[in-house]
Order: sequence, then C-alpha cells, then structure tokens
Amino acid sequence: MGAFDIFKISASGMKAQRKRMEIVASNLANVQTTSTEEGGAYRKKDVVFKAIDVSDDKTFSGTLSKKVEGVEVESVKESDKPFQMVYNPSHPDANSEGYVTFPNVNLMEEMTDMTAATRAYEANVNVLNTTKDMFLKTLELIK
Amino acid sequence: MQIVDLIGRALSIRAFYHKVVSGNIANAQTPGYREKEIDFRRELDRRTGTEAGLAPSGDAGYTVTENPGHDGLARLDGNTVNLEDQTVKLTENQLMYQALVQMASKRFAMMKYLIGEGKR
Amino acid sequence: MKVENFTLPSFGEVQKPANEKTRTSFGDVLKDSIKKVVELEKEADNEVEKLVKMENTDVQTTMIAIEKADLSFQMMMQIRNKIISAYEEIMRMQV
Repeated sequence: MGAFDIFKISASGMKAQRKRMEIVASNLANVQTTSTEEGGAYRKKDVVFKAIDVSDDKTFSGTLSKKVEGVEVESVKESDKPFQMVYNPSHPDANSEGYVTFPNVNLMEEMTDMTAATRAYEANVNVLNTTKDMFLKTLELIK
Repeated sequence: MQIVDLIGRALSIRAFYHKVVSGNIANAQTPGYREKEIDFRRELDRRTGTEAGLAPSGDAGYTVTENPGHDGLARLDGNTVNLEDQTVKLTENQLMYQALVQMASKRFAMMKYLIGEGKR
Repeated sequence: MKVENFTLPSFGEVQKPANEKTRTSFGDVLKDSIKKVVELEKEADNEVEKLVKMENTDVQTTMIAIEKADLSFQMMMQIRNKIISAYEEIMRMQV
C-alpha cells in the first residue's frame, strides 16, 4: 500500500466526520420542532459508521490481503429514545391530555458529539499532514 | 535521457491537473458546477511512445471529464464537488510533482558529475 | 543494503604472478564494475518509470534504487580515475 492509500483513508474519515457534523447541526436546529412531515415530533438522528475498503486494488487477492480500511456513513438512523413530554395545554400541538411531545434531542449530548466530531476530523487532517511529511522526507534520500 | 522526457511530460500533466483541482475547490459552493477530472494515465500514454506529438499542446490538449455526481447524488444546487477528495488529490498531485522534480534533478546531477569527472 | 554490493575483487588478486592464466587485470576490474553500474542504473530507470506512470506508489523503493545507482556510479568513476593515474604514474617511470 503506497502513501496515497493513506490519503484515501484520511479523506474517508474527514468525509464521515463532516456528515456527522451535518447530523448534529440538524439535531440542534430541530431541538424544539414539535411537528414534522412524517407526523409527530422530530426524532434525533444518529450516524452509523462502517469500515470499508478504500484501496484501488479491487482484485481478488488484493481484497483478501487488505488489513486496513477507511470509513463511510452506512446509514442515518432515527433514535428510539423516548420523547420529552411537556405539559402545556395552550400549545397548538398539545394532545388531548394537554401534553406536547418535544424532540428527544439532548443539548449536552449533541454538543459533546460535535466536539468529538471536530477532534476526529482534526486527527484525520493530522494523519494526512504527517504522511505528507514522511513522503517529502523520503524524497530527501536522493538530494 | 529518455526517462527525463517522460518525467517532463508527467510534470506538464500534473501542472495542468493542479489547475483543475484548484478550480474544483474554488467552486465548491457554486450551484450547478460539476467536479472536473482528468485521466492521468491516458494523458501520459497519449504523449509518449508512438502517439507522442499527436495531442495538441497547451491546456486544450487535455481531455477534461465532468463528474455527474458523487455516491450517485448531486447536491440540491447541482454542485458535485467533493471537498475532502479534492483536498487529498491536491496534496497527492503536489507531492508527486515534487518527487518528479527531484528525480529529474538527480538525473541531471549525475550527468553533470559525469561531465565533470570525464575531464580528468 | 549491504556495502558488499559495491566491492570488487580485491586488488590483491591483481598481483598474482604473470604465468597464472586466471589473473585479473585492471581492465577486468573496471569492466566488472561498469557492468554492475549499468545494471543498477537500468533498475533505477525502471523504478522511476513505474513511479512516473503511477504503477507503483512506493517512493522509498524508487529513491533507494536511484541512490544505489548514483553511488555505485560515483564509485566506478573514482576507481577509473585511480586506475588511470596509476597507469600514468607507471608510464612516467624511467626504465
């Protein structure tokens, strides 16, 4: 595996973390959304990461020997966590008992997720830069 | 010195590719902009061996293809630029460019050495 | 990488008595090292071509192959210079 496969892995990591950030942004934007197109309150979304093969070597023996993989977002799942019920009979979306279902988005959780995604993104960029340095150092062999 | 010619051609292609990728990155938010790409190996083959000289010179000589969409989807505004991939391609291209220059430079240094020593 | 790749038959062998048919001359020593240099240079050119065409992205193999060729080339030139100055010195000897 040459230096450029590492770049593909880092790129896949960066892409995945960026998608995660998009989902966090969506969750935060909809923290008060009581009605959606599908009916009911907004359900918090989660990304599911999956390890994938990012190398160019798609031959049979190539895939057999692969030991390192990149990442991709396999799917975006809606969380099954229970909604928050708030008693507010005057709210337009209140149900017959006067309770309003608010999204199951936890602000703290989302902020933590955002920090984690940022750090992971930075880590991937670091890997890229370090690999770049290693490559340039190798070129110095023939200076 | 054949190898130096090959390196030279690869350098020209990479210099052009740098422009392509920079353009993609600059237009990462432009609605309707399709990500542009070139087939490096094909461009190199067109300019070496028996086909040398058949490709027109200058930027018009390169075949630039447009990417209709990543992962099968274009974004809502029609833009298909994948920023992380383009950043990585830029780095890759730049590193290979440096490697090519270094190798050509080494070749020339060896020649100069030979010329120098040959005088003795 | 072993330095032995660059060594040639020691000069001790060159001093064998003249009636031995297996004597190696300065010329043979030089020819031998030239052959090795040509081999290494061909290998280096191959590696460079592979890297340029992106058939191989292991820069380290390419760089090492290039440097091997370069060093052995320089070594050969130095040997050639030494042989020539030895020859010239012998020619200068008054008999």
